[in-house]
Amino acid sequence: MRSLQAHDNLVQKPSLNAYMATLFNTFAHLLSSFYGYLAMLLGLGCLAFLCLLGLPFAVLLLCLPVKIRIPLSRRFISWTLAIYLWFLKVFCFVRIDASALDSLNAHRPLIVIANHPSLLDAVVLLSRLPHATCVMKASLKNNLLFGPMARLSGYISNDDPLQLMRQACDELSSGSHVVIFPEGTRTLNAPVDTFSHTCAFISARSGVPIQCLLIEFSTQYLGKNWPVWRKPTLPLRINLRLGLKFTADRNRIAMTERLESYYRENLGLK
Amino acid sequence: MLRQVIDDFLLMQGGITPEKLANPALKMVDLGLDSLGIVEMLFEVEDRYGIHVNDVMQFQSMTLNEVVAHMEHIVLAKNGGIWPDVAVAEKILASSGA
Repeated sequence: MRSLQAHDNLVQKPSLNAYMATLFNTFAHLLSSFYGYLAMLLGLGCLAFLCLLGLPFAVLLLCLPVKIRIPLSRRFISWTLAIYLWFLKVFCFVRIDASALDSLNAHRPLIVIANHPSLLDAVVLLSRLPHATCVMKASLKNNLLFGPMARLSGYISNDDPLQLMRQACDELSSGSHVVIFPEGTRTLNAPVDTFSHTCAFISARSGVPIQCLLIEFSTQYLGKNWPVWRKPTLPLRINLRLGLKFTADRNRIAMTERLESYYRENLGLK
Repeated sequence: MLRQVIDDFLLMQGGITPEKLANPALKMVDLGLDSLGIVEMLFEVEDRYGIHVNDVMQFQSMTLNEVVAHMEHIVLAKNGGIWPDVAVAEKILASSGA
């Protein structure tokens, strides 16, 4: 009877060490959760701040002739986004490996395509490609934060297919990179959604090859199903690697099928 | 001739038959071409006749005959009312590898 009582005491009264461990775990969890929210707010706040900081520069750029303004504003975007990514690395526990992109600057013109798992994809790409124009959603041109610099940089709106084609081919003939997300919007069904024929058509029309980029995120942060105000799971790892380069093909439908198959094969579900 | 260029292009797209193209009331939207398909068709004509069309969206509500007439009007306007020698244009196209 006495030994049973002793056993009950052992079960009901955890040791001080176990109690401290539980307390520590709870505290660590709370701290980690708090840091997640803080990192998210810092990250979004920094982006908004940098975009607003660019507005006076945008006004200055307006005074310049187009030939100077466009390359200068693209460089400005690239530098600004590089600062933003540095901030994310230092303060927000984001680990980014996008060094593979640097080698592309020696290869122009080039159509650069990538899968689109997150809102941060374009940020990473444009931070490393200062000679790039980007095919973007028409609605972004009217966005207060991104619109002014996007317009000044001659980014290509996707609302008119004819103008999109003409502008993209003109950019390529002048030696630019043209960045396109062939899914048209952020990925809904991993690994990739159905590709549009746009990039294959631009390649067929311009004769410029398509360089594939494969982007992988450790979580689906800022993906299609991730609300802006939901905190990230840290550390957030972003890995970007070069894929195959496809030479131009007159048949845009066959080319699109090849591209989509390539991404499906090389972006396996984790 | 311009009609032939368009017909040839459309027949190369899957699901479009000569019988379908013979229907004068046929609208572009009934051909099942997406917006890029219409742009591609336009480029076929532009490359051969050296014209430049700015608004491709207007074609979607037109019949095929109206589209052909519209483009012929642009070609004639560009060449001072004279139909161009397409053989020359074809040679230029062939030499450019397009």
